[in-house]
Amino acid sequence: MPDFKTLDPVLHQSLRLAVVSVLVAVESAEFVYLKEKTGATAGNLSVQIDKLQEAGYIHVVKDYNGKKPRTTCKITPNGLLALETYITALKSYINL
Amino acid sequence: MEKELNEKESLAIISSMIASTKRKLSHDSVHYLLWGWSVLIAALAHYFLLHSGYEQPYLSWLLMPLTAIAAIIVGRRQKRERHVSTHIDTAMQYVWTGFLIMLLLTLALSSKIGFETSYPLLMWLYGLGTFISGGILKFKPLWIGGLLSFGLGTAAFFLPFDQQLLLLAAAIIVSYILPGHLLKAAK
Repeated sequence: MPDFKTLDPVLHQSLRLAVVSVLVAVESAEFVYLKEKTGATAGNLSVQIDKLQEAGYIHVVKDYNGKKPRTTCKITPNGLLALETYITALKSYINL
Repeated sequence: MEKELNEKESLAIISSMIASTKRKLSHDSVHYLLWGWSVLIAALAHYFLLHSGYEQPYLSWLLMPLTAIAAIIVGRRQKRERHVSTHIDTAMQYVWTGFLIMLLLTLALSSKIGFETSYPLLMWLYGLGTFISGGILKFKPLWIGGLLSFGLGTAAFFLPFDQQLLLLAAAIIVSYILPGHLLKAAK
């Protein structure tokens, strides 16, 4: 019997998982980039980014690019660890 | 209501999102082409002005500050439009900043080093830039071009200054212009 691990509820949600997966592959990404890659609505994305930030999984910087407001996200070491743990748990579920 | 994710869906999201961030190689080509063509024109103009008896043939290099301005404008626009920064971007930034510092130091000290030594050194430096970049981008024509520049630079040490200019032009063609065009065509 595989050792079933509980899946992290913060990551076990499609949009949040998508955001963290994009951020694990890049150094940092702006809100518009995450929106384009995930295909999410701005409202939903904004809510999920807040949740990831509250969990300490991503670091969010808000500033201006010229006159336009800009939100830039970056994965934190905690976020990286959480994704690794999540993937290990998934593997134990599907018995990889 | 959002439906519960199953394990396979989770893995599919992770892999598709990571794959979607794959960097387009063609994105980098503009800088190799801009600098490549500009240095080629300046080197050949220097050669022809030298042979036409013009007193200040090196003035052809005044094209460089204009190219730098164009490169800064293009770079800024690219950054603004891409909305993402990858680890490769950061690595390239360090490679080319280091390159620029060494290039300026070599130019600043060229009267001390001697012009006939500085140009071959610059060719090694050009080669180093594309050799490392080719390795980072995993793009063979770039690092091969870099190696060829090392060879041409070495040969240039044994030639008179005017012929060094022609070798410099050749080095730029093999390490910047040709790989730049191939990069532009790459996906």
